[in-house]
Amino acid sequence: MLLTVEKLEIAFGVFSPVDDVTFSIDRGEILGIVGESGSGKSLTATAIMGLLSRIGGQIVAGRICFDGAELVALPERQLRRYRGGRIALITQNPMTSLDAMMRVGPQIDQAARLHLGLDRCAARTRSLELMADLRIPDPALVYGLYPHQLSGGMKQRIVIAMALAGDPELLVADEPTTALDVTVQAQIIQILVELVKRRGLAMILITHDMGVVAQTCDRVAVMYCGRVIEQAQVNAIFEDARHPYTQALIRCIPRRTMTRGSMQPIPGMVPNVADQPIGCRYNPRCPRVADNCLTEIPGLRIDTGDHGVACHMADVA
Amino acid sequence: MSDLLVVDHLSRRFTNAGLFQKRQVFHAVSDVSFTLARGQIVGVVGESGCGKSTLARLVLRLIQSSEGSVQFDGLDMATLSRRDLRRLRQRMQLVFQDPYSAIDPRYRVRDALLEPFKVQGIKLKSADATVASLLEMVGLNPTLTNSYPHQLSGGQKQRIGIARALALNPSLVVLDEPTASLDVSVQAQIIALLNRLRESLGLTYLFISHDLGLVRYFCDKILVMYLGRIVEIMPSDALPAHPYTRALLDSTFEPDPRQRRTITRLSGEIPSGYNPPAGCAFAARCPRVSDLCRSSLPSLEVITSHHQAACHHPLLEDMATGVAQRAHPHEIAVP
Repeated sequence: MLLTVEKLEIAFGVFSPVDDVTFSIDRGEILGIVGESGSGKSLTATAIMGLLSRIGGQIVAGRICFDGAELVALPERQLRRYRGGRIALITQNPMTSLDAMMRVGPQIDQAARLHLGLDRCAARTRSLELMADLRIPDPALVYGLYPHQLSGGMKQRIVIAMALAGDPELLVADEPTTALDVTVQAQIIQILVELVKRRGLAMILITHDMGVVAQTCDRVAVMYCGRVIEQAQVNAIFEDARHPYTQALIRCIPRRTMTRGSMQPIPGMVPNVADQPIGCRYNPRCPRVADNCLTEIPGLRIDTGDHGVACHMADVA
Repeated sequence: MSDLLVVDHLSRRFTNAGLFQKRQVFHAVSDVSFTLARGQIVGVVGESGCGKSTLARLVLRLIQSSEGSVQFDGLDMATLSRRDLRRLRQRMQLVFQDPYSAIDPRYRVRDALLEPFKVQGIKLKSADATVASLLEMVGLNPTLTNSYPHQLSGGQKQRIGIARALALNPSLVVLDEPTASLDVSVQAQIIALLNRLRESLGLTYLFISHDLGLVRYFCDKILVMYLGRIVEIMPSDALPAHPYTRALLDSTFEPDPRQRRTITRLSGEIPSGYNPPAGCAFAARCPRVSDLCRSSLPSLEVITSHHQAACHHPLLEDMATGVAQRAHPHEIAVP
């Protein structure tokens, strides 16, 4: 496994918005992390990037193991060798993640100069190659433009080129297409999938869009209230979901085959991080609550088919 | 069924004239005509900048049109006086995209819900009872009456936005991307709520969205816009005849891992509304483009009785062989 996250717990003061998160990913694989706002998926990404302390959080338990190295306890200086180099982040909003005062080309150069030790000229050549690879038309012209001169889709390609510049092995893509139009989203997702498969990268794709997950991921981890409540191969998630939340989430997606009024929303709402229910965090909304659901948090149990589910009632027919 | 809304050749241009800038004209909405029958849900889809939000504001006459007319229940809105227009507005309401900025942060829920009555100068017998019944209608607990917007979740705020729009008992509600900023499970709750309210109150919706999947699920009729123009008007269960609608549909990710496909990638970008091309606006990105498309603007032509497309080379063969090409047998277009 290239990356293994084990029993990760993140704390902000007295609150633990991420608690007991476990998953792993290998080269050439796309792992989808899905969940609603506040489920802790972006915080998990921030923790992998080693950026938690910058936003006031800390890892209080668990391990993040990348290619044999333990990242959690690593001092900042050594962490920098990974961040942007072997592990790269693609951020959600290309409108805010580019420096508005700097031409886009030199922004791509930075990671190659820092992590690969290339000089200005070699870094530029490499950036132009990456831009051509991402099907940016006329890379030499675009290299010298400022972010405001580019469309949203073009900006997101620049952000992807920046992530690739340090020659990473693991890409962490946090909602990479949420801010984009559907036709542009389709282009960007396809570019990312091709990259992963062609270069043998690993990618963690964080999204709330089950359609994107279905079309791109190999495996999926579903998060609810800071915990992974189910993880399995993508087909198993869509056809054999075992956690009541995953089942309900899949029923919320409008499909072409549905008639109006047939969509079944989940009753209630996601609890506040400061006011988590005792026991299973899904119990106030769950249709099949038993006594131990109200007292005991179910752990993730993984069966022989690599299908994990955190539910007391999963085996009860 | 009589038409509640008749939009006829509606256009809106914006002029940008900075102090040292050359005068530029932006064509936001061009020559849009459609009708909305009572009780119907009509969806408007298109990508950012295609003019769908401008259309919503034109329909409600929140902004003036450059050309064309909007008739609401037989009344031409352009001929109405300010006072009459304000009275008529009781019957047409707007729900905004972003529930976070649509409600004044210093207003309690109660104030937000009573504002429409204040604006219209309507005296209420019991304001408390009105607020309570509005909250109940949108599935919120009446104890939220004195809450401030920051104490509510996104879904709760959008419910307040809907309750405020329904306060004056309107006939037409324009929904401008009401679920775009919400999670899927909350979106499902809001869509179910809107559907229930439409049935119980006999509402008519103009539903604006960029999500073709959601529009196909929720609407009776779909208008597809591209660079300010309607390129296709179709029943929501029909197969698209316009190559742009086809491309939009192909770009939608089906939530089914067994139906993976390589997405037909649209190359190129949307042309600028400052300088729209002489021919079809989609010509530069269209796989079926011909010389005719670059020189002459196609107008909406009838495909079947409820289906129109503005294309010189519509996808008629797709529709003829539609049954064989569909992934699901029950998606066959209803003529």
